[in-house]
Amino acid sequence: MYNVILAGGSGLRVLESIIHCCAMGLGPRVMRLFVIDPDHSNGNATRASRLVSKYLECQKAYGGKLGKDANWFGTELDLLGDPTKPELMVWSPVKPNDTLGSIIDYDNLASTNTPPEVADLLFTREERQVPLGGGFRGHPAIGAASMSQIPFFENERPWSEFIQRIRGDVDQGPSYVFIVGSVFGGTGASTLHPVGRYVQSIPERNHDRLKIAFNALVPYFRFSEEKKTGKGPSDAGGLVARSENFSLATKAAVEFYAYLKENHDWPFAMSHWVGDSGLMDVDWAPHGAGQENPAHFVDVLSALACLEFFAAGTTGVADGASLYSGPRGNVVPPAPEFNLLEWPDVPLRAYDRSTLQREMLRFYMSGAAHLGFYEEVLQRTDLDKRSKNITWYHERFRGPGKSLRTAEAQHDLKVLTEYLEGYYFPWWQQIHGTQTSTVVRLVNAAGLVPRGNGKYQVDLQRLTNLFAADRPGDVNADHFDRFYTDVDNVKVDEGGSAGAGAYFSLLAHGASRFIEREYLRKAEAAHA
Amino acid sequence: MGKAILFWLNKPDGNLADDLWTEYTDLMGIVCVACVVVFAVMIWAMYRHSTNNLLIRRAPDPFGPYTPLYWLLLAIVPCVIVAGVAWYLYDQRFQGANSFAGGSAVMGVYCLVLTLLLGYAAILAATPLKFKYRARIWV
Repeated sequence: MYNVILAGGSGLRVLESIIHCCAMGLGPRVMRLFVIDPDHSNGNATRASRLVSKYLECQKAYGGKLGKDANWFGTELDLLGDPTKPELMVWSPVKPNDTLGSIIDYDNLASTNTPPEVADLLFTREERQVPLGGGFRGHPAIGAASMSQIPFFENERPWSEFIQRIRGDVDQGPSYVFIVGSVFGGTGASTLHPVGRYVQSIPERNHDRLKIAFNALVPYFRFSEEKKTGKGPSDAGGLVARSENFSLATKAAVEFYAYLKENHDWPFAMSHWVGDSGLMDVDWAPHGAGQENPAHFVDVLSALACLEFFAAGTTGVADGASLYSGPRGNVVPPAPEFNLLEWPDVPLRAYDRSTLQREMLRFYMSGAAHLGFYEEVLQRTDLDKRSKNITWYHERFRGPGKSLRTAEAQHDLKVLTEYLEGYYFPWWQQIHGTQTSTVVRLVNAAGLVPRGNGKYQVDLQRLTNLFAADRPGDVNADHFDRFYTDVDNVKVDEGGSAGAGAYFSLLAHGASRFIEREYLRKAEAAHA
Repeated sequence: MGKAILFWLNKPDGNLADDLWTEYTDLMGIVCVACVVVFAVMIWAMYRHSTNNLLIRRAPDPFGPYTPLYWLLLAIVPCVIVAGVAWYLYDQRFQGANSFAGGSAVMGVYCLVLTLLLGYAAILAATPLKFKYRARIWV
């Protein structure tokens, strides 16, 4: 069984990437999600929650219904909550008005064996008195003290469910736990080790069947106000995260982890370290709804690290190893101060790079074709009457009970459209559009076209170079006709059996043919 | 041979010499076959060219008029040619005989039907899969 624990705003953004990878068929069959964030109104959590809900709708409509060749939306999510009302649960170790003082019962310490002066030594008055409902404000010391309270939540959801299921998992076989968080902020830094150590203690037997890894995000953004003024979020006052402290916090965290490892307090089978020396500018927001940062390529790399851990465990990796990667040395970036991120730069240890890229391209292309062409066709009210105009539709979806014009099929198609235009393609756009000193070339960003209200679709004129920058002659409206023909040439018995799943599967098979001819054979010919 | 191709054709005038009539029908049989074959091939070639150039780029495109089928109208040309040639040759060879306008017209229509059938069969074979059912409107 596969478990992901995501801490703080960075963890939530990695969750988005994990969900998108699951949509593309890269996830395990079932994945358990556990989100930890003390910021009760975090904008990242709101966005991730909406995405998870949309994914669940897509999973219900398409999961397992696309035939054996496409596992899109195939991963079932275990959200640890009420199974009749599945939604992303965000657990917080603190209530909105809790303070560190109330958590450690500072006012009554005098009557215990621990004198309050010890707390005074470790925490400032401000740290003890600030309300924690908005998060740990970039202060892992506060967070770590709060996280040490986890054992007190053992009998409450979601911990009670989580503990019970982990114990059940290790009784039946191996169980994998992947923890994600940043080490330069508050929540992630205070979560990785305490939660890892606690999770390690959960199994009552078969401890060796539980493998825990973490993904530590090191600085990859800074607050835009600081870039403009050279100062921190000066008007905020009080305890806030300041990007001038990010490097220092990271160094302290790494030294602390090294100390723990040397002293055998290290529950992790492996760890991944991901960051970006070119820092993305984000609007400063101390906490709350304003803290909704765009997706970043480090999220994608972290998500792939997670899914590779699930796919291959620790195979080929020394126990306790730390994995990291940097830019290729043999590629000249577009400008001296820029990094360049292309597919060969994506660090992989288990996935076959070309297979991964091809599978992602297949989903991307099918989604692009749906939004750019087929969605409009399937919305026609006269579609069933004029089915002879569309060969693939006439041969598969003609007749009672087969039509894609039924309310159920139209609902499933709408869900797919909403996911693609509102979440999937905007995610790619953010990954490519918000970097300040890294040029990301995973997809052809020029092909991502706004649809209004933050929605995106793909320009079908770029169908032959969706994953590469524009080349002369590549932008052509005629490309789509070949894709359309490929879809028509898919055998009737290929793909799913009925409904919207069969339709999307049809696009998948058409995309496979198109990629084989327009990408792979052309690439082979170019190399020959 | 002419009798086999133009099987229904009888002498419009009993006074016409048998050998001249046979010669005439043989010649018209060749003209009919040639016209039918040439124009069926032309229909096939033009249809194929048109379907190759009829690309699907936008969602409304599959629902637009299926213009390549209009090439079947080319079958009118052999109809006119055969009817005209039949009438002209008859008039040249059998001066003073009964009129053969009706027979010429029937030969033209005969070629029209043959060209349409042959051309349409060629069209069905040449239709790309994406237009498969658009070409089958009469099947």
